[in-house]
Amino acid sequence: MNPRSIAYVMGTLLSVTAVAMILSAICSLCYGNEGDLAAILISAAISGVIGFPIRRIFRHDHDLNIKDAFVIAAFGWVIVSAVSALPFVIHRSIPCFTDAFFEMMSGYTTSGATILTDIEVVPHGLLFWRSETHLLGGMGFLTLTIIFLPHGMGGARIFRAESSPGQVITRERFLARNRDAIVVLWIIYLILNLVQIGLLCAGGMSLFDSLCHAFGTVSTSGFSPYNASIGHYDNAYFDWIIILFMFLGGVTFMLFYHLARGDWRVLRVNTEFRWYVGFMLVFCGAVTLILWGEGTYDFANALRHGTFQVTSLLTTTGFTTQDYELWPQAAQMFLFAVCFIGACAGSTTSGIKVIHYVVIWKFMVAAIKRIFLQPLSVASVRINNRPIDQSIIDLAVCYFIVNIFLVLGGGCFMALVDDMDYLSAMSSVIATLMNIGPGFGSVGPSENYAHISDIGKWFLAWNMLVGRLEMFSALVIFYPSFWRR
Amino acid sequence: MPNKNANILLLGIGGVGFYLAKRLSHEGHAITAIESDPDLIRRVDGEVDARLVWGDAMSFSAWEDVGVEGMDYLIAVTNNDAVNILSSLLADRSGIPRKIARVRSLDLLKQGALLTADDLKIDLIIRPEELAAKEIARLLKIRAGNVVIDLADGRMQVMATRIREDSVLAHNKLKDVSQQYNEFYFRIVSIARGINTIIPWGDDEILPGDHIYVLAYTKDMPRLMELTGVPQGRRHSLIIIGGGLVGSRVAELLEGSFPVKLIEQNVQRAEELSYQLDKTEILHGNGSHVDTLLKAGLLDVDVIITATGDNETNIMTSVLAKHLIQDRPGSVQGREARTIALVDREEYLALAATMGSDVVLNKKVLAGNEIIKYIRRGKLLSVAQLYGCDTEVVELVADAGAPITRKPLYDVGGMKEKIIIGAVYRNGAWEIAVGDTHVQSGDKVIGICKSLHVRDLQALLLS
Repeated sequence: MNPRSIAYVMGTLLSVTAVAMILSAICSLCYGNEGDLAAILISAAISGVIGFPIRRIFRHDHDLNIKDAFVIAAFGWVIVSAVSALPFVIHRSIPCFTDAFFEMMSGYTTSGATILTDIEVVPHGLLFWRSETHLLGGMGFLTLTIIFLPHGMGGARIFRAESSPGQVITRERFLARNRDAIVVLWIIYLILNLVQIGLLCAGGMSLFDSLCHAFGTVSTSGFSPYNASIGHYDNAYFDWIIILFMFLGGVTFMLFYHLARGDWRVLRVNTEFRWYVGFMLVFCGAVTLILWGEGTYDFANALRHGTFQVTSLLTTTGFTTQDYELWPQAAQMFLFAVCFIGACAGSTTSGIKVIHYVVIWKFMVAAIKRIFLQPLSVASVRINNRPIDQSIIDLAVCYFIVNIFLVLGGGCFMALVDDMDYLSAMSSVIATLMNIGPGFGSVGPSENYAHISDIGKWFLAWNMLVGRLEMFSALVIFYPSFWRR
Repeated sequence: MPNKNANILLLGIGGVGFYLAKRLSHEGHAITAIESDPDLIRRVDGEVDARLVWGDAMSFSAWEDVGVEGMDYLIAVTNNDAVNILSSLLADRSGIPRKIARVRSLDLLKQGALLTADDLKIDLIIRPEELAAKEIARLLKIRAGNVVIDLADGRMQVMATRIREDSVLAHNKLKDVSQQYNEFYFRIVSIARGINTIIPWGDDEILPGDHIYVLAYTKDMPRLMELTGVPQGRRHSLIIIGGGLVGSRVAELLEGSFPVKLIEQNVQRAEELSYQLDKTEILHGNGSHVDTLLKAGLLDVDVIITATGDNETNIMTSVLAKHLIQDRPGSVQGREARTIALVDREEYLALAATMGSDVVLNKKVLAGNEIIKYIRRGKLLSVAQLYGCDTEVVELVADAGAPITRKPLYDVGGMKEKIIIGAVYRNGAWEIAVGDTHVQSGDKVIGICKSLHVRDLQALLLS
């Protein structure tokens, strides 16, 4: 453990946060300071005053081992969320620190679960800050700081600790230097945001709203500055644009890099992308047909709302246009199932990725065949036309099991500490662990998380962190041997 | 950074490859490695910031996958000569401007060879065994037994020596040493202790058992040796244990100047060697057995070179031989045999030095350094690695406006326990640097640091 190096990275994190707050301050100024400017500036100052000197003092320390990276991944988010909660607490638009922390953790982990009952009374500067955490968190907040770290293994280790085991499966890096790869990912990410902002503005959305919604879409997060989320507009054009960009946010970003270089072959080779499209078609089709068949909507609206909701939940975004709890039970069942599916590894999404299902499915088929049908059969699990390692299969299976355990265990815990029905309890855990946002029951699309007790909120905030770090990095710090010398 | 970082395609990430990947990525180069052994990739992954591609170094599809365009260097260090050679040709065809290949065979560099490096489009041929053999030969030809490295066009040298219990330097702090012995300039620039390497500062203490590395003017070397208790003995004869590529080559290089005995375990190999090496006495036996060593006349030799293919055998045998000579009845006080051990594992390098082996050579490190030197050309004037510890000596010129030119050395930040400025060239003469030396732009500087910090050292000297 190198406390000095950890301090250096933490200082960098806080410095980046302070700089990011300046953007919200500018936004607040544009709206003529609705009383939130002081709160934002004070918070930026606090975070800067702590961050910059620490970064300066420890600037010569950047040797990180793998344990340091885990510590940074687990506690970096907590510290940043705590600091980011300050503007809300100081301004008193969210007076309770627990609530503000929950909201910010939800922002950085791109969950989009909110405790705000009336979002529209919050001043614009703070709303912008709330959505900006999505922008920062979408690509992984820590990856942003890696850009500011010197060359060497430190950055690569943090990247490994923060990013998904899903990425271990598609292990190959597309650029030689870790930092270059991260810069390219951020550029792709920002371009997607810009294009969406342009398209939304072109459709007549105000610049502020397009910024907030784009930040919430590409990062597949789901904060909206309106109580009714995207349903506020009831506009088919906006719905389809947002569907498109939620889908793109769920695609492995590496693919965009290859496409930009004119290499369209990767789409055919990439197993996960094909399965992702397949999942989308099956679930969107099913929900659309149910909605249409049951007569909830006419076909065009069934297609629009069905596709929107499936895409929103599958990519772990969590925008809503309609209260899907009023839909037929069959449609709800499909939406519930979709919650367990995340999009592609190496995208901005969380949850159990398509690649995990691909690996587990292929492994299951081969294993059953070998054990019960043909003991002599040799079948290798192939991804992207290449056989994959046994350790990766183990990891995928393990990841799936840990998710199920956490959902069941967390559901029991929530039912105990909070007075809620079992569906709400379990779905609150699913919605936070998979970083979706809205769930079913008392945390459904027309409700929010305000009614949950403080213990419940802290637990769910922890769930969001665990989900965002894709389980293992957040869980490994619970091994006693991790802390032993 | 005035120097563009290079894109490097590395074939093979075994010993040399891994060492290179680590060093080069630390210097900010972009490294893409192709390796066919998935276990090796798993081991290296997470240790090196490089793109690792699983594939055959010779498969065109792997080359297409990594995208060869834009690569500046090819470094082919797989364990197969033919693959390395062929991939250089391939690289030339794909437009990689500079090709470096490890080729074990000696034939390519011979006069009038059928195929030359030029034919094969190789810019630099690396032959680790040859490097090691030449290094050993060079060391033995140096007058004194301990390692000496030439710097500053031979005007200065770094000497390595082991501190014995009775040494006048033992148990002294560095600052006291420099106060006490001030008739001539010298500076202790690195200490290998156990498996650690220390870039020493004034408060560090010298302990018995340390290997110290001292920078001094070449003309003062005899006095320095006297001070540190290095006997300036002569080298009479040597025993080489292990007749592999290195061992036989050392014998070939030295058999004209010294009486050489070579112990080889394999009968056939021993017979083969006896044809090849005219003047060398080839013995058949297990060089790690005491009776074999004694029969070979160990007690009368001055240098023992352990060059078998096994790291542990090399280290243990050299320690064993040393003890046999020291403990023999009636041994002359102060007379010591020198041992040179060939050790390929980095972890063992400093350890072997502390255990009593006088010189530890790592042919992978030698090969790696040769390649790094080639890639760094122009940036650094010269680079040398100190044997037996993780320290590098670098000569370079301070740019105008570089951080180091702003203050005297004791005020320059970020150097403590990391970087030592050993000497400065100005007004046509080399000066040993002290705390109030103020480096000016255009000065040539000798810097000493751990290999991890070469980049920091560069940053200090570049604007």
